[in-house]
Amino acid sequence: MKITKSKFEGIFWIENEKKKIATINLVPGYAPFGEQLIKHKNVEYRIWEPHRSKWAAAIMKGIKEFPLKKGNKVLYLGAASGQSASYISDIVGDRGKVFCVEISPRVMRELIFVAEKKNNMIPILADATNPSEYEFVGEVDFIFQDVAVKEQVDVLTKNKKFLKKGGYAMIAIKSRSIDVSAKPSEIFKNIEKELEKHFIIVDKKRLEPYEMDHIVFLLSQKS
Amino acid sequence: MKRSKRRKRPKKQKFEKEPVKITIAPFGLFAFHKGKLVKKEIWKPKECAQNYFKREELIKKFKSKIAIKAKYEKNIIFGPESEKFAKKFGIKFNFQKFMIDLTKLKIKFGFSKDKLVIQASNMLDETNKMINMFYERLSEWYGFYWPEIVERVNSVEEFSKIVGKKRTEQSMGFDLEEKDLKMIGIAGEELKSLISFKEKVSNYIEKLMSEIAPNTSKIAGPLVGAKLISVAGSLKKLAEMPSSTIQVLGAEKALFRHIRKGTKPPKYGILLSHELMHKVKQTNRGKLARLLASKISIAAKIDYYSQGKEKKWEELLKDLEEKVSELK
Repeated sequence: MKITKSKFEGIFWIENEKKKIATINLVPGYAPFGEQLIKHKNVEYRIWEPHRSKWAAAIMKGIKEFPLKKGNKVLYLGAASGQSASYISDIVGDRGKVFCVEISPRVMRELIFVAEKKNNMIPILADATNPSEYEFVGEVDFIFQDVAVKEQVDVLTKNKKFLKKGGYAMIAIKSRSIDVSAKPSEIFKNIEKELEKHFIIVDKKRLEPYEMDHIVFLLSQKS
Repeated sequence: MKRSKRRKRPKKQKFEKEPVKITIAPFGLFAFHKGKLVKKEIWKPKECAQNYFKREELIKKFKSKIAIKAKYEKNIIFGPESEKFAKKFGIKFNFQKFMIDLTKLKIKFGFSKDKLVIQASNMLDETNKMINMFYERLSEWYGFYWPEIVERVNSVEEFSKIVGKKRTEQSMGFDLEEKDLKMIGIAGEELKSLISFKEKVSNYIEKLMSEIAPNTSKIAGPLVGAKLISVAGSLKKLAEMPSSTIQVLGAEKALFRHIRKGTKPPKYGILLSHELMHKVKQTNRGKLARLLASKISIAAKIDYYSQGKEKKWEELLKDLEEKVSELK
C-alpha cells in the first residue's frame, strides 16, 4: 500500500489494488457510513468513495482545483445524512466549521449522530431556498451545494451573500431534477450560462461513471 | 398634623426616555439600560436549547422582573457572534452543542401524524405482498399432498384455514409423512397471522385517517387516501398538489414515459383501486379518475389547512355522486 499527498490540502491518494482518495479521520475509529479506515504510521485515513460523494467523484475525475483549506468556514447546502459533509469536516479540521443546512428531518436525524461526534459540524434544520433562516452563519470561505430542486442556480445565488471575498463555491447539478425529458448536455449548457452571470467558472466535471447525468462546477467569486 | 400620619404613597416611577435593551442570546437573557447591564438570566448548558425554544414565554417573565419603566427593544444574538458575547461575560457556551440540541427539539416537535399514515400504508402493501408469497408457496407445497382442495379453494382466507390439515377424501397427492405435513401446517399458521395482521393494520389506518384527514378518507376511502398521502410524501404535499397530479399519482412510470417518449398519458394511478372505479364502464374510468381527483384535492386541502377539524365531506360526496350518476 502506498499513501501519498494529493495536490489538494488534506486529501491523500491511497494505492492498494485501486487508487482511491482519503482524508485523515478527525475522530479516529469512527466510521459512521461503513467506510474503510486505513491505519498507516499512526495516522488513520478514511476512504472517500466517489460512488457515494459527488465531490469525491469530481476529484477522481481530475478537477483542476479543490481550494478547501484547514480552518475554513463552510456552508453546506443539502447536507443530507452528512456523509459528504463529514469529509469536508475532516479537511477543515478542528478549527474549521461546517454549517450543514438540510430541510428533511428524516435525514437530519442521521446527521445529528455524526455531528455529535464531530465537533465542527453544525446542524441547521432549514430550507436552503430561504437563507434568512440561518443568517447567523455569517461569512464563509466555501459553499458546497447539493440540493435536488428545480431551481438549483437560484438557491446558490440566494446564498452567495455568505461568501467571503475570494471565496469559492462548488455545486452539483443533477439534470433530472431540472427536466426529465431534456438532454443533460443541453441542461448543463444552460446552467453554465446562468452561473456565468454570477460567478467565474474555474472548472467543471461530468461525474460519469460514478453518477449518471450529473455535473460539478467549481466557481469563484466575481470581483 | 394629620398629614404626617397619612400613609406615604409609593414614589411614582418615572418613565425613562431611554429604552431597555434586551439581548436574547442562546444561553440567556440580558437587559441593558443606559449602557449598563441591569439584569441577566443565564441558563444551564443543558437547558439552553429548551429555553431558547420557548423564549417568548421566558422573555415575558424576565421583563416583569426589571424595575424600570421604559420601552423595550429586543436584540437577538445568535451563531458564532453569540460565542464572543458569552466570552465577554465569562460564560461557557458551545454553539455547536447548542445547535445539536435545538435541532433535536425541532425534530421532536416538528413531527406530524401523517408520517404514521405513511408507515402504516406501506406496511399494509408489504403485508399484502407477503400474503401473496405465502399463498403461492404454500399452494405448491401443500399441493403435493392434497392438490384437489388447493384447486377448489378460491381465496387466501379459505386456503389459510385448510393448509396443513389431513385429507378427508381420495387424492392423487403423495402420502406425506407426519413431520412433513406438520411443517406445512406451521407455515400455514404464519399465513393466518399475516391475514389477521393485515386486518389490524387496515383498521388502524382507518382510525388514523378519520383523525388527521377525515374528508380525504371519506372521498377516497381510508386505504386509498392513505396510499395517496404516502406517494405524495405528506398530507401537506398532497394538499398543495393540483388535481391533475393527484389523478395520475402512482403512475409516474407511465407519466414520465409519456413526457419523454410521447406515448399515451396515463389516466389514473392509485385511484384505480377506488371502490367506484369498478362500478363504471372501462371507457369511463379516465373521466371518473378526473372527477375523483378533483374532489380529493379539495378534501385534502380542507384536511390539511383545518388540521382535520373541518368536516365538509357530505357536500363533496353529494356533488361527486351526482356527477358519477351522469357518467353511468
